[in-house]
Amino acid sequence: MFQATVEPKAYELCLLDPRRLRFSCSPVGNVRLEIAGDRCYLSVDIARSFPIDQQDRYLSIRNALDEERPEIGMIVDPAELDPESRLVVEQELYRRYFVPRILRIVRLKEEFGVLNFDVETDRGPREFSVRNPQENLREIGDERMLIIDIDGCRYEIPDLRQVDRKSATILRDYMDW
Amino acid sequence: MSIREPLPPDIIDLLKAGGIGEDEVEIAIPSDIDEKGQFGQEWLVVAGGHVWVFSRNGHGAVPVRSVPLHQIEGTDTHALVSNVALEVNVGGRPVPLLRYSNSVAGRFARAAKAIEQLSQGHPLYGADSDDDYDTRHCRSCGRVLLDGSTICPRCLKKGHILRRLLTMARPYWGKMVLITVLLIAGVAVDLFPPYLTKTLIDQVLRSGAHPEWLAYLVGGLLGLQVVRIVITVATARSTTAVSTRFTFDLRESMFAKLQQLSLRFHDRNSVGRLMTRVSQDTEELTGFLGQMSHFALNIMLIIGIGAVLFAMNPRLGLFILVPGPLVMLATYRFWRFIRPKFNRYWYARWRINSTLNASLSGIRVVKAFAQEEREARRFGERNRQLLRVRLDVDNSWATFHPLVSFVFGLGGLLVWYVGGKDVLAGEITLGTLIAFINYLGMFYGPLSSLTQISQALNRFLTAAQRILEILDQEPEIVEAEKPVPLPRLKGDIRFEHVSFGYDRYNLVLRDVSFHIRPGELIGIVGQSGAGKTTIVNLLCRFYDVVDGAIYLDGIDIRQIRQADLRSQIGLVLQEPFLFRGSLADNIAYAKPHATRDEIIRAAKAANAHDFIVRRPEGYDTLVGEHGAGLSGGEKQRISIARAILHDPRILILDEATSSVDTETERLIQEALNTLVRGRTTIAIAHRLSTLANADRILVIQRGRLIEEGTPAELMRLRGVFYNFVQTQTQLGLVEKDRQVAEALLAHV
Repeated sequence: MFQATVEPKAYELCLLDPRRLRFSCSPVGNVRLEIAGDRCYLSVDIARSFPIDQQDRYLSIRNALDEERPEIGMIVDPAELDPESRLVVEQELYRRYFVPRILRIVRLKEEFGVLNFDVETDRGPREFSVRNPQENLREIGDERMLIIDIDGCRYEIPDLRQVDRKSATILRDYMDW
Repeated sequence: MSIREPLPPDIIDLLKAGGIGEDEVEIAIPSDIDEKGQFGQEWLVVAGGHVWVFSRNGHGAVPVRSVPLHQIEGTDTHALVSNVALEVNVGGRPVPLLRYSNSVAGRFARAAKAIEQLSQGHPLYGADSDDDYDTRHCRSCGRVLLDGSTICPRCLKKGHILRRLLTMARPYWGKMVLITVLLIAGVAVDLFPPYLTKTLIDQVLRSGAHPEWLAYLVGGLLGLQVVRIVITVATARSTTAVSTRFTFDLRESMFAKLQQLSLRFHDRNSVGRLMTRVSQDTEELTGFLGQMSHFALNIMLIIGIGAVLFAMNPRLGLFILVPGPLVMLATYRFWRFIRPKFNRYWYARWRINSTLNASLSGIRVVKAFAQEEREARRFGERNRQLLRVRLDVDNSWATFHPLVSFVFGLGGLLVWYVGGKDVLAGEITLGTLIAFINYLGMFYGPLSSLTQISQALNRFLTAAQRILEILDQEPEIVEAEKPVPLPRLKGDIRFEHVSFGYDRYNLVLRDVSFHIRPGELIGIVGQSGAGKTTIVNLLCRFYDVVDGAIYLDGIDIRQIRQADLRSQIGLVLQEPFLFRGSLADNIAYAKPHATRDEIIRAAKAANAHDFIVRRPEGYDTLVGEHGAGLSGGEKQRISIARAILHDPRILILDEATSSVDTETERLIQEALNTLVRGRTTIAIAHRLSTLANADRILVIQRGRLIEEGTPAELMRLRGVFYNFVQTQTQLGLVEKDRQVAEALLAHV
């Protein structure tokens, strides 16, 4: 089922065999990819195909040195990579997807139609504002919420049940009705 | 939002240790993400010929990276999800510098451009201005602003705006005084009937002392009602007259202002946003002025009735006031409770409309994939949602409105009880009590409406401020103090060391110099974004140069009278724009008093006459904003006819033929050939057929003039133009272009 020895055609899905891939980090911080016995890319981009639905599967590996950033191939399940490669991939995904998870809402205030958040996230504390809450607070599954602030930064609330009641009431006001 | 922020002392120390003084710092901005991908801080600093990245984690600053400026070939901001990676190219390879969240992306994008500029040895132009790039936050309090608004509801200077509006309404002051008088008269008239009923009860009905008064009193009541009607009608009519006319004036002066403002203003403000301001905000004002008089009436009623009540019986008057706070609180709470439900209802309605719109406009797709049922389900879901919120609104209204009315009624009950005891005790007459009850009915209504006043006032002031903001704008391009009149241009154009950027950190033209002699046909070639159109924009003085100067017939264009300048430059754009009106009107746009004869001559010259006459309505054919019913080539020929009739000394063709097919292009080209005769012409073009006739060609690349000469000279140069011709030949797109290319290649 895996094919990798020939340069993939753009119109065909090319699944990479994770066992043949070696990801490493270059000194300046680019991700390198070596396809065993075949090719080597000095800098690749790794993108999630389903960043909300299936974060950890269907990764698209793209050549970052080409301006068009063409796809090299896809990895269905990165768990099959060797541990070092997997770590590099995970770090790169963590770097690329800057979507802090909100651990605690310290303060949530509504003022003139704008929601002002003061939160603690897994990436540290942050304050941000959301306008047009109807559009920018999105329910993305069971009790999960995606928040987009005025700058287009994304935040995730993994479980609304974990949020304090007062904030949750305000947030729910904008979603389930 | 500057890109040179004050550096923290630990970084200054580090730089000093490296022999770099604080005054050598050219760029310094902090990111908001650290190396580990956590919220934190890294500083991007350009100083001492290097780009530095300093990380600051707890214990002081550490230099993480440094790249010599002269090694940098370019910068690249690479958008990731919610954050951006800034890279520099060194030796053809990207070197990541640091990352930052979208919140500060705008500043870093400017910094990146600035680094490119510095790395090429160009200093940063001008002082680092505190430009209005951040339009999302209030400038004084930092609060987030609502979409498309620059007004912070918190920071409004309410008194100031009201005063300004009053000043602007000066022509209506007389009418406004009249309205005030009418309002007072109305209140006075309102106060009489209960007093008459009191007399009626006490003096006529109960005691029977003056039975003959009955007719007079009832007649008086009738008279008062007639007077009241007259006053009401007069007030309403004058209020509408003032508010509608005032907003009419506002709309007119706003439109005039928008026409007058420079292009840069229009670049920054989308058409939609400006439209809202001119149409919606003024409308809001109209509504409010009416509401205002309503509020004024209510206030006067409260004062008037209050005074009368206390005069009649101070003790009973006090009892009326007791439920007052309760009434106000109830109304306030009621609206707080009901308003979000209304918002939700409006939003649900908006959603159902957009669902409806999507499935109806996509009906062919729906049918093609046999998804009718699913669409019906989806619509059903939205519809149920709408039903749910509508029920919520109506049920809340149905439940709570009577409750509020009940609170209103409490005052009446209180007066019935306390006043009733007084009547029994003989302290007041029954007439007084009835009068009290009557006044009471007129008292709580206005009181509760006052709770809405601040809400309405805020909405109104925001709209007013948005309008004032436009009216206060000053056009950036200003007429010289002593403008030089230039009624007849020769068409001699000189660019001297012109540099220009739409913002300071991103120069689009760099040190461009050229000279075009009267009557020459000049072609401008270059990739999109190279700065071709910018040259045109500068020549028309839509913008002023940042550095250098442009001379027309030897006079700096900033000194030339603007009307003289623009009336002698004709523009034919890639996307012709036709205004609503007849074809004849459109051709005569720049010369409204043109004779039929002239119009037809122009249309003939533009190869437009034939297709116009073939239409059933000929020159009287009406076209809409987008020239509905005309093909691209036809619209283009109309716009050429317009330029021919305008008879400009300098003609600019901005890709005039690039979006039409070959046959149309031939027709347009013929039209253009008549047009360019005898005038200085600048043609921005991709098509070789346009360029081959040029006396000279300017090749622009990344904001610089890199080649200049006759087509034959440039071919022999074997540079960019030569390559351009080569690719065109290989593409072999257009037969005519191919022939031209072959002819050109023969020069080599």
